[in-house]
Amino acid sequence: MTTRFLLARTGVMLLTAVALLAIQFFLFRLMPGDPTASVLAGGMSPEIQDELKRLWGLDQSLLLQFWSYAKNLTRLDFGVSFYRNVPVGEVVLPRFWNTIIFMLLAMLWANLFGVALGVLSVIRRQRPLEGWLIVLGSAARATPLFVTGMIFLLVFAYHLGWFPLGGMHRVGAVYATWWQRYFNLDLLHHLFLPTLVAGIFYFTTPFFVMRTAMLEHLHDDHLLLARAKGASPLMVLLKHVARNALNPVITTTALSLGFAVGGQVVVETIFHWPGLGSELVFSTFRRDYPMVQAIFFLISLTVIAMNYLADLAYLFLDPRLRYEAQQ
Amino acid sequence: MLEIRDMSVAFDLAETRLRAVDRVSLTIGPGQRLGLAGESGCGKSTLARAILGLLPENARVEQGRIVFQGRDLLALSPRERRALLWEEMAYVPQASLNSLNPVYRVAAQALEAVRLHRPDAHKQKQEYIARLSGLLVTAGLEERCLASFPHQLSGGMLQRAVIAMAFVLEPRLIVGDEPTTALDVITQGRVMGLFKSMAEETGAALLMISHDLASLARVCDSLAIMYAGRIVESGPWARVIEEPWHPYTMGLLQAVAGLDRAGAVLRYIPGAPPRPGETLAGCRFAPRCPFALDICLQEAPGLRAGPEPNRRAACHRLAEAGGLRRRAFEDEVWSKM
Amino acid sequence: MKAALAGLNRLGRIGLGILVLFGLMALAGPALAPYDPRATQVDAQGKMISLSPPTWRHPLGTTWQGRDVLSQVLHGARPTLVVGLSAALILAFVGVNVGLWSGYFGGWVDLVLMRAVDILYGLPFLPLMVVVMSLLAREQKYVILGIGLVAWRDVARVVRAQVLSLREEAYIKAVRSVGAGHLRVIYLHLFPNLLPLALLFLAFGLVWSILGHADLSFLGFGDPAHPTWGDMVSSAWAAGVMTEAYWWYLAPSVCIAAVSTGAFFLACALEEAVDPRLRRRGPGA
Repeated sequence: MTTRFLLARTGVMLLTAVALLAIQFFLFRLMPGDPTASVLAGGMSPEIQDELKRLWGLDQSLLLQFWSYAKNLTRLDFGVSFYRNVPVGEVVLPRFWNTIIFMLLAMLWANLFGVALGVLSVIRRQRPLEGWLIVLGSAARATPLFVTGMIFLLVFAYHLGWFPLGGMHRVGAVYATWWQRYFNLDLLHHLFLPTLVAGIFYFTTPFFVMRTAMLEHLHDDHLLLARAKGASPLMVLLKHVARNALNPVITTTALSLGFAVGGQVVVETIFHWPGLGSELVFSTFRRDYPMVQAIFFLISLTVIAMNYLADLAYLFLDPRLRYEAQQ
Repeated sequence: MLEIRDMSVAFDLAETRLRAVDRVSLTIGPGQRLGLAGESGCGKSTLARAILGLLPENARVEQGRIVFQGRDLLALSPRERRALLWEEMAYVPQASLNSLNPVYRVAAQALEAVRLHRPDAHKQKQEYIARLSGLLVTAGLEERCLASFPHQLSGGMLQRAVIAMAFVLEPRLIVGDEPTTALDVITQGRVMGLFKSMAEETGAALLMISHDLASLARVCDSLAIMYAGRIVESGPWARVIEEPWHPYTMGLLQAVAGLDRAGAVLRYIPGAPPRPGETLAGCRFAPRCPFALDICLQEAPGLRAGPEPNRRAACHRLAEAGGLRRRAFEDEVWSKM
Repeated sequence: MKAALAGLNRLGRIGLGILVLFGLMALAGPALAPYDPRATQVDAQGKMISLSPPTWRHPLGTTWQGRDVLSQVLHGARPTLVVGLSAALILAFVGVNVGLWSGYFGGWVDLVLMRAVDILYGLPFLPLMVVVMSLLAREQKYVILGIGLVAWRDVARVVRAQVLSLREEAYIKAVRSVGAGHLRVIYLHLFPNLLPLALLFLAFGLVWSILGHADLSFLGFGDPAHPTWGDMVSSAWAAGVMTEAYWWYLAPSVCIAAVSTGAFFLACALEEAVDPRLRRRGPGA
C-alpha cells in the first residue's frame, strides 16, 4: 500500500514535470506574439536573421528544438539572455536560492502566526476574541500583498527606519562563499520585513486548518483520561488537542510552499528582492524570453517538488500508513 | 472514605434539563470494592464523572454533597479538585483504542500524570520509570511497552497499561467506568482479576461500573444496582446476589447467564426503562415490575434499610422480598408482563 | 432568499452587504464620477492640477498627470467585478463539470482529468498569468480566461470527492439501476446536490480572481483599456510618490481589500453552511 502510494505519487510527479516542460516550451513558441520575432525584427538584413536563427537553432523543426532544449536543461543550460547577453543560468541560479530562502522564512512566519493564533482562537472559543481572529485571518488573506507590502514598507522602513527599503545586502557587500552570502545578520535584516509581509498573507491557511483540526479533536476520547490525570483545561488543549491537530497543518503547509513561490512575485517586486519573481517581471517587460522561460520552468519545478513533498509528508504523518510502513 | 449524599446531576439541553442522576446516596469505605451495575443510560457513568469532577460542559451537580476523605469536594476550587485527581482518585475509562493519545508514547503519558502532581518528577524520573515498569510487569505486560505508541498495542494491552498507570501514584480510590467492555471475554476476566489483585496490594478502594454483573463478580465485595438515575438496591456482594430484595435486581439476575445459577435460562426483563426526562410519580421500575401495586405507581419509595446490616433497597414491598424472590424465579412471572 | 440569508452567519451577511455595495458602485460609479477619469484637470489659469491633495473640487485629490482620483476610483469597481465574476463563473463551471465527470465515470476519464489537475497544480498561478499576458495581449478577456481556466483545479478535486461519496448513495444507485442515461444522472440527480458547493466555490473564486487581477494590474500587466484600482496603486508606485501622495493610492487599496475581504467572509460563511467539516485545502489558487 505504502510502496504503491509512493510509486504512484512519484510517477505523477515525473509525468507532471515532463508535461509542464512541454507545455511551457510550446506555449512560448506557439503564442501569437512569437518571442523570436520581437528580437529578430528591427531592420536586420535577411542574411543576419538567418544566421541568428541558425545560431539559436530556430531553423530546426519544433520537435527537434524541444529535444535539444530538454537536453540542455538537464545540464542546467538555459541558453543566453537576450537582454543581458550572458548565460541565463548565471543570472537565474543565485536568484533561485534567494527565492527559496525567502519562501522558507515567509512560511515559517506564516506557520508561527497561524498555529499560535489558531490555538488562541480555540482557547477563547465562543468569546469575542475568536470572532476578531477570524476577521483578521480572513482580511489577511483577502488583502492584496502589494497593499500590505506598501503599508509595511512605508511605516517600518521609511518612517521608522527600522529596516532597509529593499534589496538583499548592504550596498557594496561582497561575500566569498555561498555560506557567507546566506548566513549573515545583514541578510536577515533585509529579509525580515518582506518575509513578514508574505507570512501575514499566508498565515490564514495554517490558522484555519489548525482551528478546524483542533475543533474536530476537541471531543476525542483520550482527553477524558488526560483530564482525569488532573491536567487543567488549558494544558489539555495545548498538549493533547493542539499537538494532535498539527498533522494537517504540516501537510497543507507543504502544499502552500509551492503556492507561495508563485505568489512571491509581488513581494519580491515591491521590496526589490533579487529573486525569481522580481526577475520574471523584469525580464517579461524586456521580452527576454530565454530568461522568462528558465524562470518559469524553475518556479514550476519548485511547485511540483513541494507538492510531492506534501504527498510524502502525508504518507509520513498518517499513523496508519506509517504503521504499515514499519511492518 | 467516600460518601455521596442526596446528589443529583442534570444536563442542560437545548430546551430542557435532564436529570441523569436523581438523589443518589452511596458510601465506599477504605479498601472497599464496590460494583455499580445498571443498564446503559441509567446514569452510572454520569455518577462516576460527577465524583471525579469530570462532567461534560453541559452537566452540573444540582444538589447534594460528595465528601471524600473528610473534604467536601463540591466546595473545592477546580484547581484543588484537579490536585486530588490521580493522586487520590484515579480513573480508568472504558477500554478502547482511544483512551490514550495516539501521538505520545505510553511512558510519556504515564509520566504526564506524575509530573502534574509530584514536583520531584524531573529529578526522580528514573525511579518513577522503574516503578511504572514494575507496575506494567505486575499487569502482565513487558517493560518495553512503555516505549510503544498506543497503536502498537492491542486493546487488552492498552487497558492493562492504563490500569498500571492508575496505580502509579497509589491513589486511595480508583473509578473504573466499564473498564472491560470492549475486550474479549478471556481478556476481560484477566483485566478484572488484575484490578482486584492490585487494589488489594495497595489497599485502594474501587468503584467499578458495568452493565454486566458477571464481569464485576470477580472483583467486587459489595454491589449497588442503579435504575433510571436512582440506586434501587445496595449491600454486600454475596448477599445481594443470593437474596436480592428489589424486583429489578431479581430480574437482572434472571437475565445473567452463568452466574453460579446453573441451569438458569437467559431471560431479560420485558419493557424498557423510562425515557430520559420522562417523569413518573411513583417507583420508576413500577411499569415493568411484575409485583407492582397501586402505591408503587403513586409514590416513589426511598432507599430503606432492611432486616440485614449494610443492606438497603428502594421498594414498597421490601418486607415481602423473600416471597417475591421465590416467584421471581418462575419464568411465567416475567413472561406474563 | 430570506431563508438563504438566515443560513449565513453574521460575517457572511456583512460580506454579502459589502459585495452588494460594490455591485452598486460598479453599476452607478461611472455615472456618479464628477470627471472623466482620464481627463487632465486644469485650474482657472489653465495650469495642470498635478498631485493636488484632497480639496472640495477633488475630494480624493489628483494624480501626477492631473487626473481626478475619485472619478478613477468610481470607475474602478466595474472592471474589478466584471473580471472577478466572469472568472469565478468559468472556474466554478469547469471545476464542477470536471469533478462530476471524473467522479461519476471513474476509470480512464478520471485518470486523464485528474492528471490534468495535477499538471495545473504544478503551474504557478501568478507567473503563468504574467507570461500569458505578455505573450498574448494585455486584454481583459485574457485575464478572465487565464484565471478561469487555471483556478478550477481546487474545485474539481473537492467536487470529485463529493461525487464519489454521492455515487454510493442508495437513491443514485436506484436511479442508475432503472437505466437512466449518464447525462441524466449527472445533471438531474448528482448536480443538484452539488449546488451549494458550486456556490461556495463561486465565492472563493471571486476572491481568487479579484486578487489575481489586482496583482496583475499592480505588476503592470492589466488591461490599459479598463483601468482598475490595482492600476492606480501601480501608477502611484511607479511615479515614486508613495511618501507624499497618499491620497492617490489609499482609496483604491482600501477598495480592493474591502471587496475581496467581503467575498472571503461570504465564502467562509457558505463553507460553514455547506458543511462545517469540509476541510479546506487552503483558500488559494
